[in-house]
Amino acid sequence: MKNPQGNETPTSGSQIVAEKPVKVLLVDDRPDKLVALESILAGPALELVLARSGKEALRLVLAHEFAVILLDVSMPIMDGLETASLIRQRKSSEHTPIIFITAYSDTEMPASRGYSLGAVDYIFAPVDPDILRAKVSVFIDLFKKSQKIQYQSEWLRKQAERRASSLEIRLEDLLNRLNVGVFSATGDGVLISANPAFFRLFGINPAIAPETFNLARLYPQEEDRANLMARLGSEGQVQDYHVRQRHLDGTHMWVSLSKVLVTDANGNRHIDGLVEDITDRKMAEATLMAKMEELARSNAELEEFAYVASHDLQEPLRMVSSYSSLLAERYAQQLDEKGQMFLGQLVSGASRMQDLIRDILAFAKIGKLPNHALVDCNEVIEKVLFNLKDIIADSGATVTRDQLPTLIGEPVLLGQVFQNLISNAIKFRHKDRCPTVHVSVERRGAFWSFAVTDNGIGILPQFYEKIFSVFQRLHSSDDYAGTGIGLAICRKAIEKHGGTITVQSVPGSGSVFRFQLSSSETDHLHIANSA
Amino acid sequence: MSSPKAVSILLIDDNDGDAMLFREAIEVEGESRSITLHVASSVDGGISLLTGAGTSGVRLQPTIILLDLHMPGKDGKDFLRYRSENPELARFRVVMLSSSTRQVDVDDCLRLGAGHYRAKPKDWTGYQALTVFLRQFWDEAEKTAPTPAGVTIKNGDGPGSDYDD
Repeated sequence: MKNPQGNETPTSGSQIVAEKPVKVLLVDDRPDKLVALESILAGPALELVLARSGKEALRLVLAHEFAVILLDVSMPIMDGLETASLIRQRKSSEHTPIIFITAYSDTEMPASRGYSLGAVDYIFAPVDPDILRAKVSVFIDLFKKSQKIQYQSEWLRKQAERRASSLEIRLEDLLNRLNVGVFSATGDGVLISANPAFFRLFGINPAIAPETFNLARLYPQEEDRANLMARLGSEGQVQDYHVRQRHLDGTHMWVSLSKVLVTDANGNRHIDGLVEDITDRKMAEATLMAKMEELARSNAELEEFAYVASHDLQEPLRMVSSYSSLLAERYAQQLDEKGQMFLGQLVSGASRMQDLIRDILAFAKIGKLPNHALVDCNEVIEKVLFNLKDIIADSGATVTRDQLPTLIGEPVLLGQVFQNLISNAIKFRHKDRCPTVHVSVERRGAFWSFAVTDNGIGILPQFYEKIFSVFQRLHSSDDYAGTGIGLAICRKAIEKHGGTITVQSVPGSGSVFRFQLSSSETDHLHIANSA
Repeated sequence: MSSPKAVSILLIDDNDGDAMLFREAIEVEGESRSITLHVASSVDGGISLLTGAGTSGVRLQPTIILLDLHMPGKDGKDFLRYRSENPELARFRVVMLSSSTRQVDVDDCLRLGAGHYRAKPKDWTGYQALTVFLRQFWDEAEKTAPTPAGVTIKNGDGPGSDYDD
């Protein structure tokens, strides 16, 4: 079947349209002329309807939908022009194309009147069969096309309706199965509708008439409701608002409320809302908070303990150290060689103990220090190099640095970090070469990534983590002096600055200690200063 | 070398060990100067010596007061408060000598009128360094009151415990 647009349109419907015969109305008072017209146009796809008068034509127009009307102009009683005028007045046929058949010559026919009455074409009698068929077929095509368009739009509308109703079903299904309460209510809190979860959540009988229930009953504190409504009123919506509500059995629970104020087409306002029971989540959060507070408190207590203990330990130790060193200076000569050695052990033991206590104190103090000074790392390094000038000179070390940034931090802690790393780099030097230490820095997004690189003895990979723990030493204090706290201080100090510290090393060739310090705050500060 | 002049020190410290070490250190210094060291083991004892209210009737005019911070009963800060409220004591300069290195202690003491804050020496070398630091005060005092060299140690507040070196 020929259907020029059938391949492109969405529808099997176009075929249905084509199968339905198209109707054509033939109007003439003379039967012979009707028969003649009929014989010219007859075909399988056409249904020819015949009318012998204008009156009959009008009746048929009401009952059928025609693709085109062939209308004899000269008829008794009601001529073609009058008939056309009446056809046009009928709603169902106001646009049906009309072809006048007239014996009048072009000049004799009041063409303008015919056109104004809705004629779309003229055919002159005697009728030329080819011309008639050609003209009629144009209108039949037009009719078919418009029918098809109509059908398609109808089909699309139905499709949309089907989709909408299936969405509605799915939505309702979802609302029924959802564990989140979904409801709508008037601005005064009178319930309009709600899903089963809503009723379940608050223990409300789902069979009640919604308008008899006011949401105000759910608030143990009227004040909470007033606050929420005030915010809803000023902002038009609230999201994930945590508030205590009441189950009808009297128990309280925490819910998360999301509400939006909706104004419908009639200007009426109502509230659409979601409500979710978050009691478990709240309780878990509270437990977590309590645990964290407890942890913070116990950490603080531990730091305080370490501080006080190490401080109190210092007192008697100062006596041991001072008197043993005084004894060594004043009376060593009166002791024999062994006595002098014992005294030496006493002095150095006391001194090591002092270093330990000093470092524990420093470690314990880290948590207490504030973190908000503007620190020029170049100055920090210079100060460190001054502190270390003796061991640098004794070891023949070369310490170099990049131009370093200024950032927000705790100057004493950062000094300890650099001092510990640089002094370690010198302390753990390779016996075959002079120690070199370089402090470099590069920008990594919001962080400065620092690196302290040395050419020392290096560290085996299995110790990368261990060295940052308190009291962890890889070497005996006979080989390398130290308390085993220095790198733990570095790690705690860097972590207090929000960074991490790691080490990479090639044993025998050297180590690189890397740590990050946040740079964003400095930029922030610079902007603030320049503004 | 200028002739030795009179210098007197009041050490207020409850720790005998520290007092003795300080005495040893000062003795070395005393080889070239005349230094009198008075020791009080409590804040009240120190105040008595300065106001003449003690049993000995002594009323000291120390060149410098060395003050420990942590003591049983009244502590160093209490002494500083008392000093600032009493004009007769306010003229004596105070050097804090404490084992505390807490910034809050340092700040408090300086705010309360101490002229210096020094950590207690942690060994003998530290005591020697302390006497070197204190020389500035001796030098100043010597401009006014010359006396012969030697050190006099007085344990000021214990009954019958005064002794001379």
